[in-house]
Amino acid sequence: MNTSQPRPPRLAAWFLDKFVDSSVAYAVLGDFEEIFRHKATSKGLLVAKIWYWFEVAKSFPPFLVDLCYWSFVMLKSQFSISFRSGRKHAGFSIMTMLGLSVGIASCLLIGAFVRDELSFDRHYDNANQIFRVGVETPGPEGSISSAATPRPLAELLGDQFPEIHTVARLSKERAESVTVVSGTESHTEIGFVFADSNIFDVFSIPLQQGIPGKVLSAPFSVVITPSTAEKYFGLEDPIGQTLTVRLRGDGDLFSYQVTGVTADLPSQSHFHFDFLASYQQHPFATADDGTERADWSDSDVYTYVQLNENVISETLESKIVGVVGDQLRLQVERNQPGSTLGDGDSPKLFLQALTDIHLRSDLANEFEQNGDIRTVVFFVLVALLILFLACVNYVNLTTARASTRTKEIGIRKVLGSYRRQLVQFFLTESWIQVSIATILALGMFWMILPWFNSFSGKDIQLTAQSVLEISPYLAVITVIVGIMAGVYPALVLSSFQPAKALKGGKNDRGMKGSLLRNGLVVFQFSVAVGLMITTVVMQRQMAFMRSADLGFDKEQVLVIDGTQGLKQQTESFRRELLKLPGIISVAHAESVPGRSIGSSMFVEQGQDSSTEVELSRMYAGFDYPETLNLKLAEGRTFSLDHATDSTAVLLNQAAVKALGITNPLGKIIVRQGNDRIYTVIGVVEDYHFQSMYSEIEPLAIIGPDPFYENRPRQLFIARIAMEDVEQTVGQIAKTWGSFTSEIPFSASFLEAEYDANYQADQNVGRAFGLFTAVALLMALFGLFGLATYAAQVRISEIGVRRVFGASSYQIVWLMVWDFTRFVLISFVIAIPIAFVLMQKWLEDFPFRIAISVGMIGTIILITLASAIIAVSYQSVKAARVPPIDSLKYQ
Amino acid sequence: MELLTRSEELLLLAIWRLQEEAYGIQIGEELTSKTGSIWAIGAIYGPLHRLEKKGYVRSSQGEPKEERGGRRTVIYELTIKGKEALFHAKEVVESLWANIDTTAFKLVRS
Repeated sequence: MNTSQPRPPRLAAWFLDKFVDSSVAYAVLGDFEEIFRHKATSKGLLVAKIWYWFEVAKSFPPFLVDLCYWSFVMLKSQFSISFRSGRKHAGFSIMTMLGLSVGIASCLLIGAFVRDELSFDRHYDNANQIFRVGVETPGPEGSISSAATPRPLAELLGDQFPEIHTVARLSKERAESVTVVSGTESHTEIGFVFADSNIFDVFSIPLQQGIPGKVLSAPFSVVITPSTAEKYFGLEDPIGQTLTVRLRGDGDLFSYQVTGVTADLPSQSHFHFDFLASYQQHPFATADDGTERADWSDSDVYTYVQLNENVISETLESKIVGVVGDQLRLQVERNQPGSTLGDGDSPKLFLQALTDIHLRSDLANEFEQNGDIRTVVFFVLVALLILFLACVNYVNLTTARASTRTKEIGIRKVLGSYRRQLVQFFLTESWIQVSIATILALGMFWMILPWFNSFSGKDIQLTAQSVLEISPYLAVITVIVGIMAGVYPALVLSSFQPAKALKGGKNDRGMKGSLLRNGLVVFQFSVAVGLMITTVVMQRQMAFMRSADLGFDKEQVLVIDGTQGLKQQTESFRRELLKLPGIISVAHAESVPGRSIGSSMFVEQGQDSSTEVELSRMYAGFDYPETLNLKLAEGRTFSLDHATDSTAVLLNQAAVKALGITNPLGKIIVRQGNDRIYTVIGVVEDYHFQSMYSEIEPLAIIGPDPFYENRPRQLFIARIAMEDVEQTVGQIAKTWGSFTSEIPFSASFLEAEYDANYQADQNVGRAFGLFTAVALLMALFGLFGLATYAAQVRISEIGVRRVFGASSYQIVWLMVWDFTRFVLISFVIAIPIAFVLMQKWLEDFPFRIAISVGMIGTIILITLASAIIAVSYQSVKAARVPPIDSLKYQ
Repeated sequence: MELLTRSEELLLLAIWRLQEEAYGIQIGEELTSKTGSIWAIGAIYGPLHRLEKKGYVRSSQGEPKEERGGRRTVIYELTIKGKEALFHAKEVVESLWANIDTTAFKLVRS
């Protein structure tokens, strides 16, 4: 062929070929090319090409109309056929659909959770340029990284680094709570946060009232949230109102003026506040001359930097380490005279991306309890597993049902369906089902959401807007699940030989198909069994931690906070309480088990200071050991009879061991630093004064030392009688009211407070339990479907067996064994893996359970029993069909 | 017998007239020159395809031609049924014309 001849545009020619009815396409293409050549020679190539394209374009609209019309016709017929075949096997269809929707609903739930976790702090403008500065301090037991930094750091950073656009600080009041008074109202608040006035430049926190740059520029100004405004001022305008604040227990009162109200803040932030007060002239950080104390030794502020655009945080970080490192080292050296620090020993600053804080940061002194990226990854894996299980089920059930549709497929083939069309047909059918399942799943999701929120501590809402937002994801899920679930059945079903299919015999797919199916059964049960073991071990560990012997009685103990405000009246308050009938014993103390306490270095008197050890220390009044029911190993507890008990100390066994004292009673220990001396009067058995996540550390319980009576944080513990608890608490509150009207009464039960330590793990465990149940249910669904299939395929075999004298029992056994052996294989796979993984998980707990044979045995029994039940229903049904019916076509 | 539509009638007549030359472009040009309005290729093949299905025309392939990109021409010819349908149409029209006195109209027009 002469290649120099002009050719029509290839793309256009291709379109033409596709659009034009195939019977005339050949002639049309020829004619078009002939005219094209003619035009090209007479009017030029360009005109000819334009003409060609124009002609092709003209055929678009009718083509599209045609396409839509016929697609619709096909879809309509497909709908009715799918609907009919679905109705014919209603139970089967409902099961398929339910399985899918439960799977998709689980995914939606996990997806919502993960989306929420991942969205933390991303709503702030420039979130990618905001970093938090942390400090890594080397210590004898490895370095400690802290989120809190020294106060003057911000100024230094802002002055020395042009790369930094803005530096702003947040500071959380360290006392357990802050008392806020407005008029006659007084509340205990935990969300009192201080901030630099430019905090709004870094975090784009929207304001309902007030101008972001100005609201915090004056000292003693405060910005509040709408809910706080409503709490204190109701419908009044909060701007200009005054709040009187007592920052620390018995401290002075300060007046703060409300200058702004924020908009409602999203919960997806790593910090929250109810009050945001100006850090200027902070009562505890201001020197006498009104300037801020440049105190490098105390790390009590969070420093945030917003970088200029195009600044690489790693480069800046190394620069900061060089400059600020010297400053920090000097500081340490000043604190510990005589010591010089090598490079490895000095504190080091580092930058943390804002968006990493919630999921990837687990530093000391975090603003709030953060999430954990591992939990997120874990849940994503579980979601994918469940979705996969749901697809596997769909595949198994659909291919199983296909045996009843062989005739339909045979007829379709005989009538001229191409295989491609059949594949399309089955894929569309699976899409239709998946779409319906997705809609069902959305309903399930909506129903289960409040419950899920209540235990995950999330606030996920399903609104019209969020449905709209997730609809693209839903569409993607639908398409992917549709393909995953539909492709295999489509390929298998469309491959039937029409002659075979129409002969009436059921189509047994032979070894290859059953190998895949059985493999899937093994997989499903392995996942289910693995998840069950995980759940049971988690739940047992949690239950163990809740019910283990802690060494003290946490039941019936009421904690009354804020008693430092009673000052000299402390002792008379104690006496008043003891008069109440419902109170068994009362003690004054600094802390209760589960709360953090301080520590100091101690050494036995007369020993070299190199033998000093770190002891957690806590002040406690008379009756503290009795109120908590601590067990005494030797010696005695504090007593009013001994005047010297103001310098007495109780050690726990761990402390005795740590100090290396052989005969502790009467020994004297010295607190390094202030050289106070204490006489050991008794040893208490080790008890869990921290949560069971940590080892029992050495502890010194210091007697009613006057020095400690001025501690800023004091409380009362009261053991109260089982009867009339409410009445007793009421009486205590009344007594409190008669002593002070300034400090609100705040009491809580020790048990609830202590157990709250385990809340996070317990929530994860509970969510896990839910998804485990889903996985097991899916596996059982799948097994039931396969049993149904097997019963249909083997109907004649069973008939023949019965003719030859097999009993129903034998036949049922035959079928049940056929499946349970795969379940047994899955035990062999899943149990070792889960065992090893959970053993590893348990290693994080210093006090843990052992994974017992009983636990795993129970799981095996439950799984086996439910699998046998799922299989035997169909097996019994098959075994009871009279041979005359099952063999009549043979 | 079913009556042909006007465009079918014109198509069939063109094919008959063109004999061996009766393929897409030629048919289109013939009709365009005789009727004075443009007959696009697309407007020809639709009806042609229907006529073929009804059995009025049949198609056969001619020699491959270089200017058609090496494709053969698809030549249409009338079947007996097609010719009968044309005659039928003509008879119907003529029988309707039969008793109309057109002299006055012709005089006015000339």
